[in-house]
Amino acid sequence: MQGKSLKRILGYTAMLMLAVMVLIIFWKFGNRNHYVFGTLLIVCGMLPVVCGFEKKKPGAREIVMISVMSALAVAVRLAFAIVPHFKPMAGIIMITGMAFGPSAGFLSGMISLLVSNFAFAQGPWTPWQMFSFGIGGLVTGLLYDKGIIGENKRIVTAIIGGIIVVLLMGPIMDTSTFFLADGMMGDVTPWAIYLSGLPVNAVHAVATAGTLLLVSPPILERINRIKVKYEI
Amino acid sequence: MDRETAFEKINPIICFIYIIGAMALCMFTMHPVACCAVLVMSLLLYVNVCGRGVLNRLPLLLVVYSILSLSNPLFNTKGETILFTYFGGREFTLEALCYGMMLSAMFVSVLMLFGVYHRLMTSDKLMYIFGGLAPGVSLVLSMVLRLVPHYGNQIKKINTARYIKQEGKYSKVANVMSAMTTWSLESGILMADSMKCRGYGCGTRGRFSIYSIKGKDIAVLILAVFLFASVLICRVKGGLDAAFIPRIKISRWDNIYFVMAIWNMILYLAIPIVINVTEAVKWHILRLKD
Repeated sequence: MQGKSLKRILGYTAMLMLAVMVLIIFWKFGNRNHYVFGTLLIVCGMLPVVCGFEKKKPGAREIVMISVMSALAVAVRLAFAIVPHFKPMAGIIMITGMAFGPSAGFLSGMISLLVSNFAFAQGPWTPWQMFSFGIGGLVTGLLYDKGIIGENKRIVTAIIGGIIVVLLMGPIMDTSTFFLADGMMGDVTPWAIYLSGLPVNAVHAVATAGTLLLVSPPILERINRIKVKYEI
Repeated sequence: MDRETAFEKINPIICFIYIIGAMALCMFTMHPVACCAVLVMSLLLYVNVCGRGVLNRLPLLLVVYSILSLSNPLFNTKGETILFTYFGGREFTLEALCYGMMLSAMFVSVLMLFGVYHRLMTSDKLMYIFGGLAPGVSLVLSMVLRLVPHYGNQIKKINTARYIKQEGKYSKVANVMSAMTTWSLESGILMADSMKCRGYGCGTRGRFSIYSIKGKDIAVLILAVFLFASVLICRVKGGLDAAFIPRIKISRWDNIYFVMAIWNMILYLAIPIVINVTEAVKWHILRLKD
């Protein structure tokens, strides 16, 4: 066991050094590649939750519950892709955050975005989307722990879910557009990008609020039933 | 997914490093010759790795390229040579146009390399790379990858069962989702218990992989690192300098570092093509002998 943990620490150190090296290389030689910086920072932002999850040595049930919720989010998105304005992923991830805690919400957001992008398209935007959905799950989990949102406040939950999409998750995804467009368009201001992303985010927010309003009480009820039944 | 090319059999770690390196190379320079070389080579790589089918996407990429390069001068009016003015005096400059063309060439190359990445780094390979570093998260990832098609089938079954029921689009979605949740949570608990019964979490965990590092993989890695480093050195020595604004100023052919940098960039991006083509030729010769 000792050797294994040492190996893991060495692995993390190597990764960190690699990241620093890449940062230095791009700082010196890249021309206006703020995108690479941003993405590296985003990846670094995802590391703490992942490391925390690994360090905790998660049990079988925890792992399975996170996988089940992420798979559900992706499967429902794929199965009902034809239904207009139906974007259930953010909603289901928020429910996961509420039911299983902030870090589970973050992980399931990350994983389900990665997996659903295997079905659609991987691109420069993948890490940003992963981070933004993860943050969505995390924040909802934190708010639930504080008692601000909950099963018996479905309207408040839906509204706050929509606000999180518009103010937090949407702008993070737009930031990737900003970094990509930054080199392209010279002196483009971030506000222009955020404003142009607003309609898309608004639709997404309404869809998420709708999902939360419609399905969050029954799903949470079922999860709680399972929790009581199997003593999780 | 028609055929497996020789480069796909290379060790995923090396493949991953190679593709990241290729993307980095694309972003290193704004020099016109280098950009053209990278663009052509990544197109060749894209077609070589992903098959001829991707040629259908060429018009789309061309449209992206033209929109991006033509729009740059609209936002950026710096530059000395004015091509024409519009909107009563706003200038459309040659320098800004060239700058935009280089940037969009870079962008399109990176997009094509992402296509290559999508084809080469399938989910199992990604799991092989990160399975050692983050075993828990990789396990979750592998389970999700297995569960998604499974749940898709289950959703189909539920839909079939509810076929005759008259209901609105959204209430149908909500009903199917709630049925799915119960079923998936119950089966998840079963799965977790069966994992526990089979000894999950006791003792050290190994992991399955069908990949090993062979001599060929090492050779590719050394070659890639060498070429990458040499391009980097040439870049430091000023071989790839290019400035567009306010005046176009680029390094010339008489600069030895410039020639070396271009040549090594082309070689770097040609590694998979060479491997694939050699393998194909070998196979062809073998079949001729029969």
